[in-house]
Amino acid sequence: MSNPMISVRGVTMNFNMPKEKVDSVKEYLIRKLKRRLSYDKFTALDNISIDIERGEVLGIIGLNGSGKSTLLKVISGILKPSDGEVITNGTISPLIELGAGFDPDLTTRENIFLNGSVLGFERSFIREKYDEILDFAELRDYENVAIKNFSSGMVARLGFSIATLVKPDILIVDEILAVGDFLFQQKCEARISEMMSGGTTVLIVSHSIEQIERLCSRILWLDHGKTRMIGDTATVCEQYKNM
Amino acid sequence: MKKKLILCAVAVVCLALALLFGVINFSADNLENRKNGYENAEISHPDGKVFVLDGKYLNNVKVNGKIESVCAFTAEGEPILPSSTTQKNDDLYYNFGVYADYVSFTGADDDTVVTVNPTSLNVNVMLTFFIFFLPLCLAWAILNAIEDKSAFKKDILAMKRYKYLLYDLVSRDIKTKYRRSVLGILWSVLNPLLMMLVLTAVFSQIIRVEVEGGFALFYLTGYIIFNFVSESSGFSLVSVINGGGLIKKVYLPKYVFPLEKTIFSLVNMLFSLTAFVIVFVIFLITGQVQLHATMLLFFVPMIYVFVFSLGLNLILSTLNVFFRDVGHLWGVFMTVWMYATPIIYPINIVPEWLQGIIRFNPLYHYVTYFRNVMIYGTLPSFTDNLICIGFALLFLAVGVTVFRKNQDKFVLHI
Repeated sequence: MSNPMISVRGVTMNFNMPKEKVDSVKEYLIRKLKRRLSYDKFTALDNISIDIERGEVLGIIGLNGSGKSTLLKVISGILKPSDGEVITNGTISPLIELGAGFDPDLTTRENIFLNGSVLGFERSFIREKYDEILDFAELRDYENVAIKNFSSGMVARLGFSIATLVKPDILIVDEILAVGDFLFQQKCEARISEMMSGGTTVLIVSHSIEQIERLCSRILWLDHGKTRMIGDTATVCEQYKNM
Repeated sequence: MKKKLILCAVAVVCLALALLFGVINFSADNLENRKNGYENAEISHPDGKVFVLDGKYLNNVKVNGKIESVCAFTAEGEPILPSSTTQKNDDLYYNFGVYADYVSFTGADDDTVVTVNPTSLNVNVMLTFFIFFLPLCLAWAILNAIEDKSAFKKDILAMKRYKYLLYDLVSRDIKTKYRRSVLGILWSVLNPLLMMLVLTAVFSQIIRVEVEGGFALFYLTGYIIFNFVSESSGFSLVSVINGGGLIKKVYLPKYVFPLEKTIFSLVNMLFSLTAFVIVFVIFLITGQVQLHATMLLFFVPMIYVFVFSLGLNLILSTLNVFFRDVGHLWGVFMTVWMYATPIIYPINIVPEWLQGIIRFNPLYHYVTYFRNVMIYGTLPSFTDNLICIGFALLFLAVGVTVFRKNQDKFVLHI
């Protein structure tokens, strides 16, 4: 068996939530002296382990606050887990939220290059893909318009185009498909299917169970930070709907 | 545990070295010699009209009485001009930027007294401080880097991958800074020029400050260096917080943010250098200044101050994530720092004990270095370079270590 694309090994993520917000030196020192810096420990992820293979599309489902987004953040390296480790083999293009790395004051053109470099791609590579990105996002007419004048759907389209057209090894999709209109959603799904056949590993978080059923090959069900179930789409979705 | 042991050992060795250095330098014998000038300057008075000072690093020469002309030479026999003269009570102080090894005063009266003040003592206090702190901080930084070698390597390698990001962010900053202003980037040149005009008017007409070479260039050189530090620290302070949108959404090496702001300010500093060139050319045409070969070294103090600033900015951006007070306090501190740096006054008009304290201000050394190469045409000595590099390394080592120790916690606090 080949190396898994993403290997999550016993990841635990604890947050220390201070009971009161302390962000001034004076307050901090006073509390430290009085030994009153108390925290509520909150476990967002509790010992999660999963191996994700190349070309697999993993859906992550669960109720609000079950740790889906935290898991994505840990996998993409934004958060460092309190315990355990994540090993990834390949470039990750995260779409954690819409418009990550866009500057509202810059034009579409400038933002494409900025976003490309935020994701760590070579200048020449982005130049090569530039037209394709613009056409896929259907923003050819808005090439020199500042992003701040865009509707949220337009920003989402641009973000999705950049993240998918640079052909990352791992694509992370967090609720993003809910924003575009249905035509664009169809286009996105077609694009994801295309990438899957090309060997890209995709992680999808969505509350739309139909979408998950349509796209995913395997599903991880999180419940209060714990793995409730890992299995093929049909079984897990059945259980989830009858919860 | 092992780390602490090594650090303790380094500290003990450094302390011993510093003490040894201190004892040698401040021994009664040495102090006695200093009273007659640094490193046994011999003051001879051959014919009653001429004073000859022969020694090393003659500086802050006090003349009480009347003299007609001054000639100073470096050890190589190059003639140099005094970098500044200051009148204090009845005494006239001559400064040669510590490079004069032979000075002669002609046309002296019978009552004229020439003394060399032991200002170099202050330099040695500085060096003692360095001998103790620099190796200690470097050892701390290196030990920490070794401790998580793979992560450190990853951060360095990320630099290559994210060089386009750095470039894009800097160009974005330049584009957005002057957006909607008619003159645009010209402001980077105009700002220092206008500031210079105002302050030159005040300090050469209203409050008279005598500076060799004219107040305009003296101020401008100080301003260029100081403004770089002040601007880059102001931007870097909030850089990580403002980059929160990105940090929370994509993986990025966090040092990109303060590094980018420091580079942006460096670009601004290069623009404002144009202001210096303009004023210098005007003065050159009117014959008030001369061209010096040392001006080719303009980039050396800039590199020093860049490294120093980068270290400082890494510390500041880290602190500000956890305590937003730092941001508010920093404005006040910058004002204090401006007055503690000889930008609008030459250092020798302040009392000697204060000069000793000012020598601990890194900016004083960078500003002086810059002035020496740009206006006075003197080549800074080995010790000067050592001090500049020392401060830069000290701040960089501490900055990198503090930043790296805390960067994983940033995302939880923005």
